[in-house]
Amino acid sequence: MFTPLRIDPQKALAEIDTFRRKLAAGMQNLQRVGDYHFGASAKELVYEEDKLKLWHFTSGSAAGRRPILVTYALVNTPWMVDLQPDRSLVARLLERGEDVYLIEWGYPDLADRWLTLEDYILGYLDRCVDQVRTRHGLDRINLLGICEGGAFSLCYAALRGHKLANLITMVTPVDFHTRDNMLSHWTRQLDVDLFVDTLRNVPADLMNWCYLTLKPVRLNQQKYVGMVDVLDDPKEIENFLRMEKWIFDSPDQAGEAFRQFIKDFYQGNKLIKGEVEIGGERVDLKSIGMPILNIFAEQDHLVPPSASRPLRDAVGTRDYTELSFKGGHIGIYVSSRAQREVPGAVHDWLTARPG
Amino acid sequence: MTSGLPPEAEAYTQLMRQAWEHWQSGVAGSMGHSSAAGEAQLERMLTALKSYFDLLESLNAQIGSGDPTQQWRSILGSIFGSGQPFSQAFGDASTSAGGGPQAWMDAFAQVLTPMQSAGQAFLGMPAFGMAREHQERAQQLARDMVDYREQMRRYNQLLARAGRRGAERFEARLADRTEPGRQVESLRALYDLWVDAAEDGFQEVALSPEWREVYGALVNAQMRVRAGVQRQVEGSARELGMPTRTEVDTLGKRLHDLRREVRELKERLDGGGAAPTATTAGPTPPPAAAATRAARKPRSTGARRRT
Repeated sequence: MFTPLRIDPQKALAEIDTFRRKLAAGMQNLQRVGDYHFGASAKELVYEEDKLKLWHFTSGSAAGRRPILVTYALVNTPWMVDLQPDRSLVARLLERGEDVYLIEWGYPDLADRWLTLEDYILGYLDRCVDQVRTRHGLDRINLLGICEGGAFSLCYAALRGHKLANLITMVTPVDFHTRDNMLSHWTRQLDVDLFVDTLRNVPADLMNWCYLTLKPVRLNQQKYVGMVDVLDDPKEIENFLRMEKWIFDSPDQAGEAFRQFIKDFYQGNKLIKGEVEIGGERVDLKSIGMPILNIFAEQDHLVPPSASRPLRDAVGTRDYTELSFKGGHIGIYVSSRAQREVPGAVHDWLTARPG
Repeated sequence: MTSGLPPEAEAYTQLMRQAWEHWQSGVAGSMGHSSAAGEAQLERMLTALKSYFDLLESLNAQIGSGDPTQQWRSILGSIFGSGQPFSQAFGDASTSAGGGPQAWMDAFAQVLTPMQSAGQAFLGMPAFGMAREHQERAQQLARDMVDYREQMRRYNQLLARAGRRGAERFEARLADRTEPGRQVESLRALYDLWVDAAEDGFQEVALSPEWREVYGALVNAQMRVRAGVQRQVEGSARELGMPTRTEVDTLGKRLHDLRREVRELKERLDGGGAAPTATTAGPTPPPAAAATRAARKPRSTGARRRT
């Protein structure tokens, strides 16, 4: 029987020395770090309403392609899909000839606390869809919904499906009550009425704190220890800081929309039961008949695959495709594997379904 | 205090500590965060790195001086012996929403402690006369603060349990690595193994029905305290003739409802919204959205205020 540790004291000392040297180099590099904003691809603003902006990416050559409208979650900014040139779902889609639009929901303030899911889904989203349809003179466009934006897209497809040709959902929760869904588990006994009535809008810092504590040691400590490994590489530091900025530069949540999303989706699990009502209209996933591509991440701790997979049996379409990606909730957009696999899969799937 | 290291290693360790402190102060001074949240995040990052650095030093001291066959058990003690690993990672649950309850709790601590020692009976005493409503609200707030403190205690107990589960997992993972070729050969590998074990331990507790209940109770308790303080502040603001958040909310709600009505009226006047000029073949759209809207049930805005 051996001891589980076989750490040579000299090597351990060298390891600490390396750590120290990287810290020292890191301080200089941090002071020299340049601009690390996100939003890499050229784009133009084509529609604006309240705090919402609808962007059209202009760097592609998308003649003849049916446009894709990307709708992101409310809980972060949508720039994760266009973080930097070599980490951009949008850029890879444009390279393949897709025509891409993106909704930026904006940063709600307390004047926006009364925005409901109806305002977001049958109001803002619907008007963005109409804008794109009108610009292209099309009856139907493609919709790509991400995370909470994917749940919105499902509701929209069920209620206004005649405006959509194809639906793509990415890391989208459908069954909110699976055993491994920690986020859902934690919300189940919140008094959401008390919560929203007290906070009005839900502060972004509170949302971020909640996400960080789902994996407390990994996200609050190990991540920064890992950062030291790249502190001597200015480009990697910039990548790290850009991601940090994206994570923490997040909007507050409009109170009423948050109230309904937690009550009906997280607590009541009504989406998969067909009991969600948006503006008085019942969302029946069985009424979704268009082709669906459902993409989920195998190591996703926010939307575990078990929450996404049930979409297959919940919808009415006979043209349902699943793509299981080896990665996490963020890696599905920014990892090198994601750059290789996801945009190509989306493009090929759409090409086979011209509508 | 000596670490048990030879003098040259002691001097080296001292040098590293100075380098660390230099780096810590340099980064803190150069990153220029201005918001409270940014400073909190920077603080978390620096604390995380410092914790890791301290851990490396501690592990190195033991590896350099101890009996190799007993090292891993003493290392377990060094990581988990001083408490549980989640306190730093979590920070303080009550400060997460932009400060508030913890600061209030600190301020009220001197009042709360005698209240608790005098028993809850004091807080349940009936009120009389002109000021009875004010007194009841103040008593309720005090009860809510006492309850919040209790819920925080339960929550911290669960975090401690998660720490113990992590320690058990860590020990099991180490015990599983006694075969040649599977042994841990670097400090970083040991640290990563500990993180994996700590997260596993945490997940076991955080997915339990007990966690769900305690977590919900903690958040609800914090919200009751916040709401109580808001009521007190609003009461004072009204006395001074100042506008209050509730009044602004009422105006916002009315404006929001009015905008909805105007938009719906416009849509009806426009005949259900503009249809695009179709250039591609597609299935016939279902009846116009306006018809669907006209037929649907009256909507609720979702608002449900508490009184």
